[in-house]
Amino acid sequence: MAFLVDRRFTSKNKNAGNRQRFIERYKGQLRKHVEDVANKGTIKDNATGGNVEVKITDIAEPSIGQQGGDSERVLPGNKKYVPGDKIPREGGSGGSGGEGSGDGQGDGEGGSGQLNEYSFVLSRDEFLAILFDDMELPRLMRRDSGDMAAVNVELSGYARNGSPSRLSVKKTVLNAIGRRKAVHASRQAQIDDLVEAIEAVRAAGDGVEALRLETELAELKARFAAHPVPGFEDHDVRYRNFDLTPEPITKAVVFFLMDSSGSMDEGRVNLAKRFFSLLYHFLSVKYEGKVAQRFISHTETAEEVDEKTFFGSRENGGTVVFSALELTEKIMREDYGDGRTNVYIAQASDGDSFGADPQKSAKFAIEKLLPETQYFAYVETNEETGEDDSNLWSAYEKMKDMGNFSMRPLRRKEDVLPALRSLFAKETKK
Amino acid sequence: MSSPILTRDMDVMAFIEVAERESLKSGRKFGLDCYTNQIELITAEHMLDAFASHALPIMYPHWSFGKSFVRHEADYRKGRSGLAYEVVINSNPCISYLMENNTMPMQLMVIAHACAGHNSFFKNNYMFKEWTEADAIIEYLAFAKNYILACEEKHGRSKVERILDMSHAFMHYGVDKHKRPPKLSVTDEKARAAERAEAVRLQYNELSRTIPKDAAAGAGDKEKNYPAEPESNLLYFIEKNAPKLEVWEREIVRIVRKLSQYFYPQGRTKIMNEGWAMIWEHIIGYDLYEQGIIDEGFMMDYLIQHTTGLIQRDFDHKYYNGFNPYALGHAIFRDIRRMSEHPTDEDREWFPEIAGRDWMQNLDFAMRNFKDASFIQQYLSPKVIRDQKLFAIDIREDDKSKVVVNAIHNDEGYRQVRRQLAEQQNIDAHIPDIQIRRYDRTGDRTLTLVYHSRRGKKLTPESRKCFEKLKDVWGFGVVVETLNEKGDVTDRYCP
Repeated sequence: MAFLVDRRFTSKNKNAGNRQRFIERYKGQLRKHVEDVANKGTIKDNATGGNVEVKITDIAEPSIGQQGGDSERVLPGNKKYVPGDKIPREGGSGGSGGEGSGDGQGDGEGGSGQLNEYSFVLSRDEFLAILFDDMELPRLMRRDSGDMAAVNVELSGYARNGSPSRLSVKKTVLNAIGRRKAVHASRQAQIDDLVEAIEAVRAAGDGVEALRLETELAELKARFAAHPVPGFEDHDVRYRNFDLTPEPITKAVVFFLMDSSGSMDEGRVNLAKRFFSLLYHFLSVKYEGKVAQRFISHTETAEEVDEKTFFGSRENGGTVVFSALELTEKIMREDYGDGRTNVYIAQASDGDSFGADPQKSAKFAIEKLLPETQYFAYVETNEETGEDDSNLWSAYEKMKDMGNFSMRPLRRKEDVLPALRSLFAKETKK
Repeated sequence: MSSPILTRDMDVMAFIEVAERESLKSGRKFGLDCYTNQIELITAEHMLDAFASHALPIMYPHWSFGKSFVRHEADYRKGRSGLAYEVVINSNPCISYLMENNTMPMQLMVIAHACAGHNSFFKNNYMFKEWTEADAIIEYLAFAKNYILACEEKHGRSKVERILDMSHAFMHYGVDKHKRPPKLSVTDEKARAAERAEAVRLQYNELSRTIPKDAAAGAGDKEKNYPAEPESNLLYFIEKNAPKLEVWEREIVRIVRKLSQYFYPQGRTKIMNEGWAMIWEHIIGYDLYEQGIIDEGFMMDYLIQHTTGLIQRDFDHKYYNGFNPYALGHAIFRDIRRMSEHPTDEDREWFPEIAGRDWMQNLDFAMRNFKDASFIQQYLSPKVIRDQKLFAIDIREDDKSKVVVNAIHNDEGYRQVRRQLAEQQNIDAHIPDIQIRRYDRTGDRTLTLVYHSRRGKKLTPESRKCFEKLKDVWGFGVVVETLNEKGDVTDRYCP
């Protein structure tokens, strides 16, 4: 009698439009939750964290209500009161508060003002997408015009045609063997049939027929000998096949510069690492591997390292920022000197450098780096920036005039995300 | 006893089919009359739909009159994320949604509750019969949803949200309380919408743009007040008169208005409806157990779930959150049955018409002919008042430091407590009385609203947000005046 409808298997796809709508609608709340998680989580969590659960409160829209004045109310659970007793109010217990227009003085459920909570699980990718929603690499440009597209070549199966350099010996030989076997087998079968016939006839005593058949057999064998099975035929030959996909022209590289000197204590190093780790994720989420990343760690000398070392190790030593900038410039020139790559630099330091280093670094940056980069972002992991600016901070201030440089202080863990956000904020279209 | 038909290890669709059949069969034995059920099994993702879409999917949670959260509080305390969710629609066939990850006892409970309980209430209670049309609503909801989605696509989500938000804010002001609503028909609605668009098109006249504004105002001849009588159906007035709304925006206001009318009974029968559904959970559950359709273990789980919904905290409890409508409704219905079957002298004195009579008829009569306020006034007994230790207090504006108890659960107090609780649940008495008094149609287009304040009440600060939305949509001046009982203007607010 009843109609039963099983809707479980429709729109199971996590990327169904409704999920997107949901995220759009609750972006404000989700963003807040996501930021909380990012701020409070460890750096490792941010890197490897899986699904994240957030609770959404379906905020009921505002409604018309009235409050105050004189009224009466009935409450349950009287323990000891008789008429005439006075119960003190703390403003919120039982009797006070606004009357919603829909829910009869706060009784019961439903109606406006009631919050419905819903637990919602974000996949890590969604989490990161929300976290970095309004960020982008600024001034990312196509540095290339015209037809000089880069091409990506991938192995993809076998073809019957191709150039000799692409001949697949293995496949060809296998095909040949197969063909030869088949032909041999068929020939052998013909011989065997004749031999059998001869024996049958002989046994039956018909010598004449047997002789005739033997002659036939001899002719057959001679024919076979005259036409041996060819070792290889055109039919067998195979060539390796390649798939050509064009690569996107817009390319970018981001240099991560980390100050690993002794003056960077654990707190400061963690701030820097947190910043870089979020930057790293931002790039992987938004630009999915199209952006190259180079990691440079420096004390009084600089060296390029791999990602693991960059995030993992701590060194000890003095601070010479110039060394890192110099190395960066070298790599830029050698690896990305064709002018076709957007270059970005992100540097973190506590600003604790001395002598001529700050000024020298700033001058070098202005002359050699900034003209060749799209954007240079500097964060200073120093609790005192703002009150007592470090040498490096003061020196770098000049670079602001260049137009593609920005700097932010990182005093506390909670500053990291806002700093990252503002450094890489999306440009609003005019 | 033969082995139970309903077990935990069944395939869920098979379970639901059998459970619905047996529950309805059981209910019919006791006189339940229901629409045909249409049960939809959904996943958590589908619930997303309800939260995601601002348009009006059938399960739109904002229309919280139309849904109930079953025992969500208990579940939260047990650490379950996610909600045991029950949504049932007043429609024919009666559509309800079950969540796939509920346990089997829970599914059975929801079926008894929604597919038998709520279903029969929707079909037979007078308010629903007068104000809604179960046959037409699904088609209308689909029309509404599609219309709004189409508007979102054509005009952008934020423009649609702007109108929807404003309309929702005035949701309680979209009903003509003294007229019965005309019949809903989707074909009529569509035709009407087309007609209106066409009329607007025909009226458009290039020349009228060239008339100088002063001449258009009519040479100082002030119009008599418009509207002639104050209008309390604010959404209706906005739909017809808002100077700056596009045709499609008016349609959206109209949709919200139609839907608020559809949900009008639900807000006013919450306690009865939930109490009724709880009673049937109880009766059907026990009946199926007695027939051996479910076994002891199953019944235990069922009862545990059932009773957690009946929790009513005392007023001084940390988690007190007002009256639990499930508990209160259930208590009264249960008491009616008790009085029918085992009346005491007190019952015979207080309720001569029902004491000792057939319980099924008594329950049925109550369900059909009352709404929350009148239900309480008619049926709340001294026994229930004692059980719940109800007491009444006075709250006075001029002394915010305390409240004064004016009646408790004793002979002198019963009638007072009952009368006050009935009044408390009379939603219409508590919706702020706001009407449109004037729309300066030929002048500066200011809209003047009047709030009649009684007994010293004031509008909440949150109300201002609503008026701001109105002003934004209205496009010209909006004034909200507060009038006290003497007729003096005590406040004047311009959003």
